[in-house]
Amino acid sequence: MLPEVSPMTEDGSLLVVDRLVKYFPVHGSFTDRFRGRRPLHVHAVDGVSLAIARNETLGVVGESGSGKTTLGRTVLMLEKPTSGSMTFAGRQISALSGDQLRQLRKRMQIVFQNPYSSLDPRARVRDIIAEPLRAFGSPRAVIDEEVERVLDAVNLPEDSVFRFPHEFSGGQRQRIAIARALVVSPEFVVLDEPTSALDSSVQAQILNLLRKIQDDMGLSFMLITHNVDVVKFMAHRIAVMYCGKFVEVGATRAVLESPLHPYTSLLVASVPRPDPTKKVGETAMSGEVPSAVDPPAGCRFNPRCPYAQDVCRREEPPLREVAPGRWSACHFAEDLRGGPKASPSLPAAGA
Amino acid sequence: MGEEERRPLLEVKGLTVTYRSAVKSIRALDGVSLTVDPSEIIAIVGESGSGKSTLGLSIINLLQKPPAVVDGGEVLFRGRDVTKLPEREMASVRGTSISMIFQDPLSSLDPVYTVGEQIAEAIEMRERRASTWNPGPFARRDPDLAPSGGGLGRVVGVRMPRGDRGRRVPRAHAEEVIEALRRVQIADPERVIDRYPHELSGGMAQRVMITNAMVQRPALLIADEPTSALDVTTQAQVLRLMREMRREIGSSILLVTHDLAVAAQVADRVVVMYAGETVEVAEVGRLFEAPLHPYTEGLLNSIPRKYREEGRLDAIPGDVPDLRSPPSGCRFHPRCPHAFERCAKERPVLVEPEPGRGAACFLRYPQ
Repeated sequence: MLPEVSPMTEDGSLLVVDRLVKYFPVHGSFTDRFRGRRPLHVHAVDGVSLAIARNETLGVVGESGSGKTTLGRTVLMLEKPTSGSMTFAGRQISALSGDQLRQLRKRMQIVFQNPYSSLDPRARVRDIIAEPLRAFGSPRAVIDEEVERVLDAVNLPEDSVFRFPHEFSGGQRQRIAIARALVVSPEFVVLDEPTSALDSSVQAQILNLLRKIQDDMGLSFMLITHNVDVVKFMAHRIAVMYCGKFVEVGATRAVLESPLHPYTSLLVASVPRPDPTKKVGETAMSGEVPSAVDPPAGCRFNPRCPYAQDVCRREEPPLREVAPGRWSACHFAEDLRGGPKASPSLPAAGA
Repeated sequence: MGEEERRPLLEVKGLTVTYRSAVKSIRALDGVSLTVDPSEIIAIVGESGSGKSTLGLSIINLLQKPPAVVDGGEVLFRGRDVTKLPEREMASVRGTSISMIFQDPLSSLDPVYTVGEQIAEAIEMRERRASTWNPGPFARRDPDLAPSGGGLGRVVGVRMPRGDRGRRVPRAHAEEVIEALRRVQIADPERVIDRYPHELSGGMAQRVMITNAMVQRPALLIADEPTSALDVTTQAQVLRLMREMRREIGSSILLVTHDLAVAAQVADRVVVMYAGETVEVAEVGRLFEAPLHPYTEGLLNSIPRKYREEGRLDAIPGDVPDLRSPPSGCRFHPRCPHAFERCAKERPVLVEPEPGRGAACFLRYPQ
């Protein structure tokens, strides 16, 4: 069953997510219960639909608090979704549990942001990388062979296997974390800020490596990041996330060069360029990501939006396909055509 | 008079700082020199282990000693060497003359005082130094003594004249505090002054830190990765604020960052550091147009500016060196695509054929 609304290539999609919701309860005080106060929830992911094709990278870009990390974790069933369904390689996975879910984990993996905290400091590299295989009961001979294969794939020397994580630099540790994700030969990997903890000279190496691995192994990636430059270089398509929802989805170049949502425009315009003749911030809007406990009524971006109208404060715009493959959740997406250069001078939308 | 104006505000000469431990010493800074002119914004760009933060801390004399030891060189602020100033005198320089903001604003704000109280304290410090001040019965004699002086005064809570340290912002300063917060685009400053730091978002907290620094109107602001913990839209606001601070107060700013793009946005001049050494200095336009040092060039190429379909990045191979055992010769030579025999044997010095423009590289300057 395909979702009604899904910004995607529906044919041959490896992963299809339909109206995924993940709320976290906020624990109020003990007495709140007796006062009959309704429990509050953080709307971390609030109705996200997406599909990822085989061998595709979907970049999910957003600021802190946008819900992007929760989305990645929920898609892997590391968090139980509040509602919504997920289909992986044609199978409903949101209802799976126990052993079925465990078997599925061979096919879906994750690489975390911080290679200093995601590797057990007391385990040797071989044991770190072999752990997923061991969890599935692979025989020793297979383990040795696979560990060697992935070490080679991430360009770590063979003698790394008997060393400990502290003997490696940040970039090498992230290679170890990538090797661990790859050792079970997954089809889909969530990359959660894979280079944010690394030095810039090392970040470029890791990005090149991830792209090579994807090409060699035919993987699908969901790349979660706050860094617009990183998604630009890595992703086939981008989903821009704001306050628990996708506000814009489309091919990377199209979205970055002619955004059809004011938040995307703001995000792109805020990225500092390594060029002293092009200063950012002259037109930067004030304001911050709103509270996910009590999101604004109507469009969640309306308090910061320069074009906000009455309808924006009243009605929440749905994510709709405004051009083939281009999805925007703005009432006035059509008026934003003409590229980011035109938007600052755009008359109030709808006027 | 003219002579006076042309003198740099800050001169760092051959500064060498080592972190000593029983097992191993790490030379974090190795003969670093730089000058900062009045109202100039200088960016110190480097990766982890480059020594950029140590440099910032040495200038405001906040290095933890031990383990840090200043082995050589001097830091002249208005002609006086701050590394040799006694702590009591240094304390009077900090805040009003040199301020510093850090990457994580929440760990630099005092959690038990409201935003308004902290900014009012900064204003009071400024005024106390500008005019005569009656220190009250518990304070020490020196009217220049800063609250951060520590000692018994701090323990018994005599950080400020007691009367001014109520739960509220002193009325005399309330207006200035609110105005200052409005300047940094904090919405609803009348309410924000009563908030505690934990009630602020990261971006707001960093703007409060900047406000704190701004109201003291320091001659030099040292900003150590001020935007690294912030979202990109907030970063843009903070970068704009730093430019405004220079324009309106005339402060010089020493911006410490790992991000060349951030440096490009605000700096007049850039100093590129690698493994404790200065490898290149340049006026900002020339650095990005024509970098001289292969490391600077590599860093610029490492910024992903391409789309996926446009091919791979020209990454710098290898890793940032471990300062416990730095490479011989030029510290960048193991990663340098142009390295030749001499690079592994001799250390290149920073050559400046014209003042403020140069590099430490045998390829450019055979020396």
